[in-house]
Amino acid sequence: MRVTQKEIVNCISQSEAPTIKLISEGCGAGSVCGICVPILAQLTQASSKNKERGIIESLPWKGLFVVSALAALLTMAIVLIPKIPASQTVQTGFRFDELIRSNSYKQITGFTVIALLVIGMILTLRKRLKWFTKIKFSNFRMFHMVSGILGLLLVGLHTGFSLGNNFNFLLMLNYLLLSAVGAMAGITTALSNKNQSPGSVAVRRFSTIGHIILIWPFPVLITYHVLMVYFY
Amino acid sequence: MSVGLTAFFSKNFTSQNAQLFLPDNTTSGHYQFEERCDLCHDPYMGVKEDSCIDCHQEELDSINDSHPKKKFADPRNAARLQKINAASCITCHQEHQPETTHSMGLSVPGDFCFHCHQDIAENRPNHEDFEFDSCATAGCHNFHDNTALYESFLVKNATLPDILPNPKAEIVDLVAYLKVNPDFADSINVEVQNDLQEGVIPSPDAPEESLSNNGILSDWHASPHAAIGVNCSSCHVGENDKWSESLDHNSCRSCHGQEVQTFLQGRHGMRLSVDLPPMKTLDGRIDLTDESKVAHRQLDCSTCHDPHSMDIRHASVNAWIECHDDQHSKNYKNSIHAKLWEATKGGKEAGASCATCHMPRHGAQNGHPPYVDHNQNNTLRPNEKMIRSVCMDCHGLQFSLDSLADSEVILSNFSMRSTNRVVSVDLSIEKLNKKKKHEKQKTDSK
Repeated sequence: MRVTQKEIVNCISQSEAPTIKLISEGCGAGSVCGICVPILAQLTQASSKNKERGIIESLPWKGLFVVSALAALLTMAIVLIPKIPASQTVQTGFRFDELIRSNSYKQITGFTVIALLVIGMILTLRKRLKWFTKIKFSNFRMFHMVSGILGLLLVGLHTGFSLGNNFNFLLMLNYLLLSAVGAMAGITTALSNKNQSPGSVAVRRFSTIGHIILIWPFPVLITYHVLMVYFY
Repeated sequence: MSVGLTAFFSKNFTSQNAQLFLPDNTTSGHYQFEERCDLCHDPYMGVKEDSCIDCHQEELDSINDSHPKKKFADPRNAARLQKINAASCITCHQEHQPETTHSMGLSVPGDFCFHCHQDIAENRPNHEDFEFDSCATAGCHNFHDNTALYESFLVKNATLPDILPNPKAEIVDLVAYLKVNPDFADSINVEVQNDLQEGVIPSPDAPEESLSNNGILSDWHASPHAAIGVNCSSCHVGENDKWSESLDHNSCRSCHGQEVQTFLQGRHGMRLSVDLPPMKTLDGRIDLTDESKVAHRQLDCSTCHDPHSMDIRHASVNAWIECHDDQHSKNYKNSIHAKLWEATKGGKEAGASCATCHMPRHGAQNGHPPYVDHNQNNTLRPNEKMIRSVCMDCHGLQFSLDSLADSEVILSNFSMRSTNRVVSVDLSIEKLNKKKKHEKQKTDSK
């Protein structure tokens, strides 16, 4: 929303008894991600008011923390879990290593990952299309993170927990950094109602911007990855 | 950022050198030209069978491939193809899968024979105790090349002693061949007519400025080239009639056509055959010495063959040992083969050098002059390939099979004797005896 401090102060000064709800309606602050709601509460001295405190508590901090932590754990798992080993015998019947090398498996898992990523990007439309503002941002964010988590799971299955080589490694590096930084942004946001120290604000800002920057090379990399598979 | 990345990747994607997009390392057979993706991959069509066949079909034909494609065109094998598509090379030889790829570029588990031969013990009860992963590792069977493992061959050579009474190593004496085949000398444009008499050395026809190196001149004087009148211009003047100081394999091709052809098919020259710069010693994947003297060598004929002295003994042993630093090569000097080789120092190409086994010599036949096979693939992996063409020049079949199936013996460079016995010969004789007995019973009953 890019609401400035001046706009918020103006909004507060226009009201005799400013509340978070009034400020949100007045200038839009706190109406998107909710990250500034605790700050608005401080400005309106709402911490002593049970009703205002309730607004802060009602934001889905816990859910955000859980899914963000899960995303961080899955990212670490993809890095740390060793590659699925090759089968040493053909006499066992079903061979998972054979399955994950098959073209159909790769295409199903790969394109599902892409679909999940595209679906997750709907989050960004809320900022750009008015119609989407009818749905609460926190719901969008949760949807974004759940699709990200499903994507991480499928990437592990798609690659057999291999980090790849050369170009594929670049793609995986981009994806894992994107996930790790996104998870960090989620965790710091979830903790922001309790910790608004300059350090945590800086980490949150860095990780949120980092998450946005890291998405830029991703479409190029994934396009070349798909092109590479079909071309070669 | 996106535009910059797209431009960068496009540049690498469309060029022949698309190594950035390699999904993983290529096998030992293909890594030398892995920057030439186009050699195996057709745009948007993956790897077509033709890519494999173009390079390997000739060899498969020459060894009478035991599992040719036509075998699987038989409808009776349709059920087998459901289990493993043996009609396609890439079913078993998938590239860029180093973690699942083992010897001979095989990317399926070693017991893959199970797919089609799981009932082998029913027809061959003496196979009951064998594991399926031992079919191709114990000197018994190979999927493609069984030229030294056919039952008839095993039975025929079953009783040969360990060391043959008249061990022989093929001698390539091109000079002698030229003396009795002047037509061949003519065909390769060697002007030998006036200088065939030994001891008559022609005057060098190099430009004055190129004759300043006395070492080169004396080397040439003592060489077989000088003895048969191959003068400086024979090699240094190319098709454009201009003198050239630097030579490559094409300079040797007119006289040593089969050597150059096999060199280009082998590990040392395969890059040159697909228009890539020569292989560098340092780029090799096997254990190679990192001595600065040889580390940056580029492989061409003159890397091993001094072009002026033509010292075959140097090319046969020292040139190998200088580069190859694996245990087998290191143990050569103390091996019986090396002692034999040293003992025949005064002679020509007798004894057992590195080249004797890995670049075997073939005498003149079918109108072709004698030549040295420079394609190592013809005697390596599976190593039974060398039984007929190399080992059995001096050794019996059983001794050869036992030695080549024993990795310890190979590492020691045959300085020790194998204590294992490959049972292929015994089983073949057992089968033959049973067949004879059965036929006798049949005859008696009549």
